[in-house]
Amino acid sequence: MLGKLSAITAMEKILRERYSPVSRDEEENLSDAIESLLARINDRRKTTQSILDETMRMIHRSFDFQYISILLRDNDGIYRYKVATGVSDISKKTLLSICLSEADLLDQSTYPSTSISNITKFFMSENEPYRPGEEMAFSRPKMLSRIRESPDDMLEGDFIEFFFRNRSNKIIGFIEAADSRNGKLPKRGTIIWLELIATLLGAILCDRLEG
Amino acid sequence: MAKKTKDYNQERFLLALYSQANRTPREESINEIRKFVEKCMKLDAQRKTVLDEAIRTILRMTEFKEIAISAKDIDGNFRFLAMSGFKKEAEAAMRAIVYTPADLMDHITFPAHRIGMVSEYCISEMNPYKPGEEATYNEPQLIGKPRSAPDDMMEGDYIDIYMDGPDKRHIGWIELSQTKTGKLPSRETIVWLELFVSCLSIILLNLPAGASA
Repeated sequence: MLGKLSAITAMEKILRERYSPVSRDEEENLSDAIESLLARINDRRKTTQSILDETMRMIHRSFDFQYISILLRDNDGIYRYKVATGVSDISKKTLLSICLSEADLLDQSTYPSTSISNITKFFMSENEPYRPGEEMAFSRPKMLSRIRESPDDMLEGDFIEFFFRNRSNKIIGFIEAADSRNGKLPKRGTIIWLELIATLLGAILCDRLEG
Repeated sequence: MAKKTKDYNQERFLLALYSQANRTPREESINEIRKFVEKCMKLDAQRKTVLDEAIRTILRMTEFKEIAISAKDIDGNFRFLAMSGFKKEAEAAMRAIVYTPADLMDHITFPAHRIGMVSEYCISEMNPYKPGEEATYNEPQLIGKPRSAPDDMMEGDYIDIYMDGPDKRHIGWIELSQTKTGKLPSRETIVWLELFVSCLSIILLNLPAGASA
């Protein structure tokens, strides 16, 4: 049995060692980055644009994607790109001009996709998931026809969408991610983290946006 | 325009790669937080309902047996609004306590050891409670019992994890005590709880107008 003073000293030592605030691995770093993002954006004084901007930058910094964008549903029911990073100026101009209706989000003939969870869709380059003219929204449109040499390659034209919803389950926006830094498909863990971020973004924005 | 056809081999590869069946415990624990947020958005959006759901999630995902959540009331003081794992008498004693914002900064009355960005560990031997608050423990007669090993989690030990609002002002905290093994919780548990608590803050601060306690 430990005496009172020695018990306190021993406890403090074990608490310091076990719970040292220095992150020990990539997962802890991500957890810290998300907590810090939430602390910054969970403020009604912040504009929607600055919330989207900070979220996009955090994802771009913390995950393996070079391209990140976020779309929101406007009051007219049309989804539009609000922020984007990792694209050329020409691509960005094309992105900002794209208007998507609710029907477009479900249109498998124009935008074929694979649902990898109830909030995430993967769009494969081979299926040409874009309308004529939207090729210019990609940074390297000439590479859109490149052959996938290995199934775990992430090609120009592959992209992933993470949907977020309001309280009535209506999609109010989505995060789009593409162009992994190592040229490979993202890990399952990355998808799960981004699904959490998307859902949180929905919780923060749902009362700011019309349903 | 020709109909676009899917590459089904690649689709099968994707579905296998991202299959929900092969998730690691860590991936599953992150997904549990997402499911919690999603569920809270669909609840009747009352604060008490959200706090009760938070307690159920923590009980399911961690080794803690006693959980209480204190939140800021309209008078600016803090009260325990949701609890689990306490005897009737202890729960009644907890419900009667009112903490002022000054109490939250009072590290003389409530000495604590920081174990995370927003987490503190209160060691039983340092008597981290006001006189009279012994009644809030399930087994107050065990307070002061010598610790047999430094990694024991004893009656009287507890962990507070704070929920913050804008400008880092506390909007409440989760108090945890008594693990199933009687030992200190793992580092992973505290890391998970801090993320969970910061998501809970998001829910509480974004309850629809008119939501009540």
